[in-house]
Amino acid sequence: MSDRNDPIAVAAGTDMERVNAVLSDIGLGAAHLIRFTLGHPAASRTNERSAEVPILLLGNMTTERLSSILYGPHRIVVEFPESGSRTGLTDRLMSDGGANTFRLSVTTATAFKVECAKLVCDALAYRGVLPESSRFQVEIALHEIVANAILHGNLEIESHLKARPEQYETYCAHLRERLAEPERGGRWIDIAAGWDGAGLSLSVMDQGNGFRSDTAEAMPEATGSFGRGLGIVRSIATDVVTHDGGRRTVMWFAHDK
Amino acid sequence: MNFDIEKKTGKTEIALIGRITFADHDDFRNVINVFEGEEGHEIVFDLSRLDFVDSSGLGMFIIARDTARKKKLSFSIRGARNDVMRVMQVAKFHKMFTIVD
Repeated sequence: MSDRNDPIAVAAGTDMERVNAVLSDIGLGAAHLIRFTLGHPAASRTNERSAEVPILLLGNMTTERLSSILYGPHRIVVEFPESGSRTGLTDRLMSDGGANTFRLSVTTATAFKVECAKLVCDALAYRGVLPESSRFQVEIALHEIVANAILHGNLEIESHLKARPEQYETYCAHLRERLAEPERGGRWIDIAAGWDGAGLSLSVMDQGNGFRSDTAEAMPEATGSFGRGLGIVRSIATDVVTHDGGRRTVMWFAHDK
Repeated sequence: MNFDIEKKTGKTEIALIGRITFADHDDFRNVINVFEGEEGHEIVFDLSRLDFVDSSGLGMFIIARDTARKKKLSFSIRGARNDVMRVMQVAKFHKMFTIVD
């Protein structure tokens, strides 16, 4: 757990009034806040003040804003939602895994529009823990698990809806509706990475209803328009384990010997 | 994802460009919508400018193939490279598609 006195950086462009209100709700005062200007990677590395800050709150999440913070010193990057639920914000700010970790917490609506898996892999590569030779395998596996967390976890969409081509329009309309719902679109997706000399661990957590891994296992070689994601992950990761009834998936990638 | 469409006599070539993922389900309807032609008209997906595809993208290729079949059009995929080819190999796509190159 992080020390409650850890400073929290807030990216420029985030609604400060809401930030102050929420932080006061969860027992943190404005004294913890440091304004953080997004900028060139080299600038954030030489910024000594920001080097002390493990946690960054970021509003107006876009791919551009997210990519510019990956090269900063922050271990925990949390979306500050423009509206909607604050559920679980305390846990997200408070559980710091330490030096060899990186976490990204975003809402489902944001996870759908930014390329989370690619951005997390960029962050890991920048930190020197994802060699180019493993990049493709780790990115596609993480991408598939994040996709499952978004579509089947938080948005509760069933893939068999696109089993036949004539259903495709209906599937797309259903997906749009679910994304626009504040309750489902506002649910959190947490991506956590941890590493040591033996390998890299990646975990993805959602707030959906979970899934039965026995039925998910039953499609080792899909031939239809869905059901390939977990098969791809299992053929690539050294190990894949699901927890919490399917709401959290942890993958392990051992370093090449 | 972006795409370019080139209509020729007897053939429609569709170049898919960039990354095709679960976030592209909506845009992919615009690709399917150009599947028109006489019986046997060829629909060709050119993947030579595609950098990344996920399992949802592969599912869209299946939907494209099945849509072509329903309209009695022929369907093939060509030009997959690097990571796109690797994902198609993991998913054993050569068993389900006409893949050229």
